[in-house]
Amino acid sequence: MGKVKSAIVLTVMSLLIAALMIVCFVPMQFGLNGMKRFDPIVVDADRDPDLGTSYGAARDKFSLTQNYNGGGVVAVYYPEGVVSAKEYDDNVEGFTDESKKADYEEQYAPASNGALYLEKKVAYEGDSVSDSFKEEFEQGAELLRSRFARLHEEVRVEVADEYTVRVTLPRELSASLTPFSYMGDFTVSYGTDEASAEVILPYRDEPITDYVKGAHTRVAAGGTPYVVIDFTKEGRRIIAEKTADATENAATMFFKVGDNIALQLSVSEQIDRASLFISSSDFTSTNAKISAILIDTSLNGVQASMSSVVGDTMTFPAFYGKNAMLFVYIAFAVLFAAMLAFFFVRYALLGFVNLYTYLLFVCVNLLCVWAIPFLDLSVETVIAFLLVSVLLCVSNAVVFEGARREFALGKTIVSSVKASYKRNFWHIFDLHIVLAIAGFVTFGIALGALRQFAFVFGLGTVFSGIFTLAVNRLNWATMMAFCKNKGKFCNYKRVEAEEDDE
Amino acid sequence: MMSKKIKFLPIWAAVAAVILIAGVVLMAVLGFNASAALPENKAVEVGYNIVVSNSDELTGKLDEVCESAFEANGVRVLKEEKGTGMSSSQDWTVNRYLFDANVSDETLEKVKTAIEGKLPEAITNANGSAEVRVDIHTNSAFSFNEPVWRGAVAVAVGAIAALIYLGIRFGVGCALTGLVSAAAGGVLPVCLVAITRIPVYAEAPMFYAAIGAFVAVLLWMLQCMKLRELKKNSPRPLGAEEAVEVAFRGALPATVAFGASVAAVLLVVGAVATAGVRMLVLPALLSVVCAGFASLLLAPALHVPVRAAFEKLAARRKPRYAGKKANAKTEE
Repeated sequence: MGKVKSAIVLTVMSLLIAALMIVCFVPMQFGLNGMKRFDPIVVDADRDPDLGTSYGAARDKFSLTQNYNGGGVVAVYYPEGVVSAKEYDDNVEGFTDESKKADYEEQYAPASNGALYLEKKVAYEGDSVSDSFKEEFEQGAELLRSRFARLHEEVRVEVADEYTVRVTLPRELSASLTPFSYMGDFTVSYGTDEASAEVILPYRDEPITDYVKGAHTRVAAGGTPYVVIDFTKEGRRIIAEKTADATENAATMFFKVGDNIALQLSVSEQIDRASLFISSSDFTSTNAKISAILIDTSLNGVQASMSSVVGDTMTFPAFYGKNAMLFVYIAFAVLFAAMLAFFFVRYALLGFVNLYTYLLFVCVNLLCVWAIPFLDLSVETVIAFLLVSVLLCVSNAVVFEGARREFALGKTIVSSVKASYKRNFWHIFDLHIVLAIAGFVTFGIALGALRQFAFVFGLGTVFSGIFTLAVNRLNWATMMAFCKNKGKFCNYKRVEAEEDDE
Repeated sequence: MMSKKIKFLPIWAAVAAVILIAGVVLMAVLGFNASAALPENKAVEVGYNIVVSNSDELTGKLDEVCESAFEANGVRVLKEEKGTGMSSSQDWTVNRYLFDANVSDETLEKVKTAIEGKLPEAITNANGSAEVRVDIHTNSAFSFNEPVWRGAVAVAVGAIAALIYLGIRFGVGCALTGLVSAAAGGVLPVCLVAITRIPVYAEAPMFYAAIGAFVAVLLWMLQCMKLRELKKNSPRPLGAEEAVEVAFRGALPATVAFGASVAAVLLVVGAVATAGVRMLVLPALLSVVCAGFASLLLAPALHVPVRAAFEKLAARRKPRYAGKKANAKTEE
């Protein structure tokens, strides 16, 4: 490549890398008194709530003043007739009338070493907790477990003190806590308001599943999330029949779980569809998912009628510690320094070629983690990224070493580079294809953290292949064009020539 | 030299088999040591209001009282969390100390009594007037098995898909040996985690399996590449033993470089990271060790008989395609 062309390409590449590095890593405040701020990609990307940090997640998405420190929300579901010891004590202390206080105390019995109090009327049969109460609680707990398991793989659901359910979940999912406490039969009612609405499904005494198949979410091309409710033929017929006069008399359709509204839909024309797509302006994909899971588990899940309330919710710090992400970044910095040291010592200025390639590789991967909705910055994704970084660096080193051997045999540097790429092309190609296949197939089947790990591994492998074979070669050609002694630039020596001299 | 490799094959196979059997038995009987996630635990929750959380002196006293109560009763805190209230209970903070599920209720009652007994005095001494309460809880987590079994299936299918490509590009023999190598690289670390009782998070074993299988496939592929190069460039046809040996030696620097780099990455992240991350990352070194064992010891030794068998098969097939009779007829 000529010097002018090389200068242009190198300048463009340098500017591109500088711009990407700023976009990815540099937070900025601007405007009057720094009122406005720019969050770099590493800050704006979603993060695993298990990883707490102050840098890399400087601003909380939920609060403009506090730093994001990872962690999640903990809430306890108290079934009807169960109160916490704190609530019981507070209530007892609140009585000024001694007889009322005694009555209240008489109504409750301590359970689970005094951590809870059970209302005898609801939970007891004689002197012990009734089997029906226990069974109802078990069914309710199982329904909660299945709902949260479908919502997010990393939600922790525990039976606490025998008769309560304790849930730990990422903060952005806390909107699910109240709706998921809704239990009971699923019904569809139709009318001008909730109180006067007529239950239209189930139509007779048949089970509701004879009319409604289930619910799931779908995202439209524009990104609008929908809850999709699928009806059976019979269900569709009844809905069409009941909404026949909707054009003249607009009304609302209420989708209820027990006595609570899970979703509602304003109807202004007849509905005659096998699937109903429901959305609203304030719907997020999380809200849609919560509503769909609530409806679907009420239709097809464990039949439970436990009535419960969500106690006070607490926020808890990140599982891995509040500075976990910061230490992961430090580890990355150490490895980055080690990589630089190796390449600059072994290949002299050729280290810049690897550096340029690697910086671009880092930015592209980070942009993908930021842009792809199901990815977040977590230990697993960072490990996957570091593994593909090893792949990229070793592939680069293999090519550099190949060129070194060719150069030592007496070839010119340009033909050495060409020969090294020619010799190693299929090796690098095969290696990357195999690992990308393994990564993407694993991603297709796995769930949770492994799914993210596999996807980042697969995607990073593809990028590693492209960057080694194309970008690294381009950088090499452009940077080397300015050197008179190209062998010195790469720290290559001609072995045979030295022997001849001797 | 090569004969040594074949001689060691039964030993490597036996080592792998012993680890596999012991690991599977322990997994079936005891499962993994999931204590990292504390699926069964008991908790002492010390809740206090904003008067305490606003004063460093009071929080220090509170921590001191709790720690001395735990120490006096001989219980070890496995995990400590600090939660702050939301919505209606914003002025309330809870220090949650988690213990093993086997700690008796009586001991925790003593702890509770000790804390409740000493706290008022400590708070008064620090000139505070705060509301504090201590509760004991017993928790039992539901296990979400689906991510674990789906993870196992995913790693297996991912490795097989990769090996199909390996089979097409390098031959069925290489793919079969690669299959054994990937299986060993993926399954052995999981078995070792079960045997050594290293505390792991619920989904972590599948993460280790994935790293082990992927690295094993990668390391074995480097040798397959050398084998293919040899086939193309060797001036004379090499026997199975000689070919595998030459390929092994040729690929050794790259194999060691890859393996050592991956180990270094895990080691650095594990060494620098917080305790929670370390618990996830450091056991992954077992995956690299097992992948190294599978691709540097087991696979080359196994590939000698596999390659010999495939060469024999190819030699048997050759005469069928010679077409001598047809040629002879044409000449006639």
